[in-house]
Amino acid sequence: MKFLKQFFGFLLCAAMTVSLAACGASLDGTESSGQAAAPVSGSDVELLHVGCIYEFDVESPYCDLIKYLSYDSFLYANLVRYDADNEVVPCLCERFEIAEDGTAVTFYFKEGIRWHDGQPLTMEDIAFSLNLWLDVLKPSVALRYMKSVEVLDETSIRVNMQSSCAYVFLRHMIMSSSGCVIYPKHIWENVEDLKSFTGKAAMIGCGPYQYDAYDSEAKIAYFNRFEDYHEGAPTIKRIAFHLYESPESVVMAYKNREIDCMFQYAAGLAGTYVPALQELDYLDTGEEINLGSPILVFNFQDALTGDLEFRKAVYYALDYDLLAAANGGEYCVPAGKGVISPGNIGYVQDLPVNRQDTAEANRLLDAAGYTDKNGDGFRENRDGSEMKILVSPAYSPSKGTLYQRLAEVVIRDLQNVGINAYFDEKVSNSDAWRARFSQDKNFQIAITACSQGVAIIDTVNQSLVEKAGADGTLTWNGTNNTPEYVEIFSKIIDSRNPEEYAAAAAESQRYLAEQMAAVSLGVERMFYPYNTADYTDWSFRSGNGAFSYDTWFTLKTK
Amino acid sequence: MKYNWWKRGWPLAVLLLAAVFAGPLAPWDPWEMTAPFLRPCWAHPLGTNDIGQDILSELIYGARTSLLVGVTASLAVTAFGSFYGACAAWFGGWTDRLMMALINVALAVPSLPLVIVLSAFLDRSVWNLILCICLTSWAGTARVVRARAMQLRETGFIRSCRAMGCGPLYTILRHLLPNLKELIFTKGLLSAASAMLTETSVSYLGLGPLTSKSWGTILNDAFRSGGLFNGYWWWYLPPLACISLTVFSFLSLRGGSEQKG
Amino acid sequence: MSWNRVGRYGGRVLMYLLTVWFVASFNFFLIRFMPGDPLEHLVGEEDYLYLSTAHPEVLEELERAYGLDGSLFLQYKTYLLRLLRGDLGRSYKNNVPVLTLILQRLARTFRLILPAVVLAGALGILLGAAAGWRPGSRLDRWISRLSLVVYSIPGYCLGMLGLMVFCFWLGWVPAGGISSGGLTGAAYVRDALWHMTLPVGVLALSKLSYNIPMMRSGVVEAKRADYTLSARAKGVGSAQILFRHVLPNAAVPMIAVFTMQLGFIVSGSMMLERLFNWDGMGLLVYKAIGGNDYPILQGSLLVLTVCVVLSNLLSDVLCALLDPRIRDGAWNEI
Repeated sequence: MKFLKQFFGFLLCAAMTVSLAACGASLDGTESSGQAAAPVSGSDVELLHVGCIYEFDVESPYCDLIKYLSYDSFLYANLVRYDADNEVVPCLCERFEIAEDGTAVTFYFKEGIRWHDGQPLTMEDIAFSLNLWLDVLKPSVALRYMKSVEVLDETSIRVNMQSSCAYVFLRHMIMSSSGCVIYPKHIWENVEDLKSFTGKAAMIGCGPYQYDAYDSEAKIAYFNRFEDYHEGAPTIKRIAFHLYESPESVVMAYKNREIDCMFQYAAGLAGTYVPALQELDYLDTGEEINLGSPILVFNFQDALTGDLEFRKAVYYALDYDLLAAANGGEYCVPAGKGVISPGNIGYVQDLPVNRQDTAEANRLLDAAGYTDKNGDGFRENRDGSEMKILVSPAYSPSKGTLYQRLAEVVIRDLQNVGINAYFDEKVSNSDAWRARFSQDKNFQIAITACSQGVAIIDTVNQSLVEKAGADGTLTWNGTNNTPEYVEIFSKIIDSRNPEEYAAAAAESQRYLAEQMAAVSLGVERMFYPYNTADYTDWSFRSGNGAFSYDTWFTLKTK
Repeated sequence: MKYNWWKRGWPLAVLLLAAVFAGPLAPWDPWEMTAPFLRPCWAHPLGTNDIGQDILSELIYGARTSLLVGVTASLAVTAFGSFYGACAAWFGGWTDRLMMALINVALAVPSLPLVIVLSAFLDRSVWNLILCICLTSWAGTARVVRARAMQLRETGFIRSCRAMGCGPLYTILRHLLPNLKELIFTKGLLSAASAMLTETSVSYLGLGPLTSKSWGTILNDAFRSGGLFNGYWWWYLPPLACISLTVFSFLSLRGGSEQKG
Repeated sequence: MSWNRVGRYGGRVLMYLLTVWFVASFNFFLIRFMPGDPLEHLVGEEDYLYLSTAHPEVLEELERAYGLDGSLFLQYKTYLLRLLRGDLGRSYKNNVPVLTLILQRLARTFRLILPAVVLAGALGILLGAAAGWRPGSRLDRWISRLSLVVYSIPGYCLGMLGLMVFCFWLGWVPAGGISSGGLTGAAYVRDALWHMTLPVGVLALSKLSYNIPMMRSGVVEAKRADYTLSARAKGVGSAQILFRHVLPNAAVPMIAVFTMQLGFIVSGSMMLERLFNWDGMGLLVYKAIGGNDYPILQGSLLVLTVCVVLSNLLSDVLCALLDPRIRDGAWNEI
């Protein structure tokens, strides 16, 4: 029995210590949660805390966080990057030249660029990396566009294209798949399995920041500025990325003043969090327009949704106010006709704003011969057979059940004009939905989103069009293969400069509006809050908020 | 005794009524969409959700899903589990050992992760969910019934039954199981509560049936819309209370039967 | 140790092994029959679609590399052999060995669970004894009623309420996470404990509500038992009866019960982990579902089962060590 007594004693003691310590810690924690004020105004920033919802899973270019940071040339510098208006500008290279016919692009470099380990960057490194993309990584960006790489001399290199797509290739290579970075050849040339090579050596890049450490328990990744960066050292000396699991916890982190800004590629906080953010007076809410949007996609290969009159009727049946509110409360408003969002290249000002008009929808359906022939309250096909419309929402872990909610609204709206729409119950995960959307193409209406990245790279059209690549294989796997549309899309892909690209994008916007190829379900406002109490001179990239490439070089203490 | 039952069972009865008469009871059709994000007001006592559906009506219809899952799963689990347990006890020997082995296996499989993993892949219907819940939860009932039936088997009247040459099925169904009805009933209530809990958990994670109303789904919607930050208490507290109250009434019913027994 | 007992122990262990094998096989077949090509996640959806039409040979190569080719039986054999070597495969997402990921997360989950189980166990024994010592007293009624109320609230709901009150309203505890980072020594320990307070408290509370009635009925039973009656007849004081006779007899089986809980809480804490951003097993599984990361799902289900099995084993051993009655037989009935 003595043993038992001792055992109980131990249990009790343990419990007491834990609860006491916990109480003590909680008191302590609240006192110390404030941050020390920055010392001298106008000086370099010692440590910037950035919140994000990524994982730091491996120390290699395949790391989730690093992949998205690479879009902004953080650790691994890209040859080119996007500027504040999402236009392509040189980054690692000093300048680039697109060939007259658009089938090649030549990059010219300054001398004296160094890797984080002090080794000089050579054209060999770049050729090695681009060939790696082609031979080993085989991601779409390389195979769709690139043909070969030629080193011209010590400071220049030429990339030949499959077709005259050099400009869009540049847009695409900035946001290429994970692993598509510029590798230091002296480290990677003998690596057999790229994905399994991890560690500090795998984190050597030539971007403005170098990897320091990762605290896996607190989930904070630390990076220091690279003093020898070829465009000069950044003004933020050290950056700590706090990794969170959900937007809710990012908002909480702002509330606790744990972070100064956030980095989330193409996805800021939703408008629903704004009331909570506005209470915090050290922040600017950092409002940006989402350059992508949730969209409703019609299957052009289906007899019904392939019919323009039917698509128009669907367009007029939708309750855009409710759809927008369901998506972002008061911070999402109905979009205009056409799918390219305001703020993005190709947006056309003069198109009307989407508005519900049930009478017009009914009129269009009646006129087109889709009437209720057997009196069951639902319309039938022209030949009197049953008309059913499958509405299939996409599945996205980050968006939760948003698309399902939107689909519910769409179904209700369609039923209100007598179209027997029903919810896709067969598909319930992202795999199965992808297969339905891009492989089997057995949907009629899909509810999904055009991501901001896609919207920036080669416009929303790339997921709608069905078109073969230069080598004859099916590359763009949408449903719309009408010659007119394919022609317009080819213009986008083969544009040789920003002007041609913008013109082609605007043309596609008019086509989308006229032909009702897809419908935008709202213009979302996203929020990237940033600390204005301690820091000043933030720079912004359209649609991506305050934590931008430019900010690293402009931010100062206040 | 009757009085006691009523006293303990009334919340459940109310819930049952709400589920059955959800149509006339609910002020709105829970799928009907009006203005979104309304605060509680006269027309919508608990406000509206992100697509303008009346939250009170959603809650009332949600009782249906929860009870459907709870009661159906519990009936299936209890019926199968007790029959299985009684069979194991009746036959004894190697049959019993083998059957017990299966029980032990099923008991050791962590049920919530299993249900969650399965529901992420299967079609999201209520029936699939019920099926997933049943996969593991029969074992608890089976084990308890088996243990009690073992004791009963050695009592006089079952022995005499056997001596009279009654068939196993007859004895199990007519004599063994009826004598365990208190225990089976208690276990049944427990399984109903836990099935209901599993359903709400899965729905709360956003992996539940999509178009049917469920308390877990309402919670999930409330959270996705920033309910906790924006202080939409009318949105997330009622489903919380409903879930807890239902489990509470199942459990207190069990208390009643235990005292009786 | 008699042969008989060896047989019993052996049977028990065999049982556990069988369970693990069963779950492993279930895992294997379940995931093979799920929709979607696992390869799709290796290369990303967009690239998969492109490669499947343009460069199928690349996909075949990958299929071989990941052991996804050959007959089902062959795949099954490879799978089991790999399991025996402790190779649970690699995550589709980032190619990290699944076992590494799981072990790291498991340690964190245990950091949440162990204190909760100990707290809930100790307080459960105390409060249960207090309630059961004088059944029907006011104290008993209050404790029993409260524990029933708390027991009715699912853990994640309790967690939400806790977050709402202690984090959003009072601001006493952080909203989630395991530690703040950048701290060492005593400051680190304090910070870690501060982060633990709410999740551990919630978990302990919900387990406590389960333990109290168990302990209470144990105490009530022990009070009715012969040895207590005879002790009372001998004129032993009531405090001594409580500590000498009732408590030990009621508490020992409880310890086994608590140990058994351990395994199930690992999976039960899933919901709480998501709520509190506690980067343990629960979050791992949850994220793997979002990304259809099959190897992680397979591995986690298996490891969770092993946890249950091990905690059962531990409970068996503890029972046998602590309770002479069980040590001498009849422990199959527990």
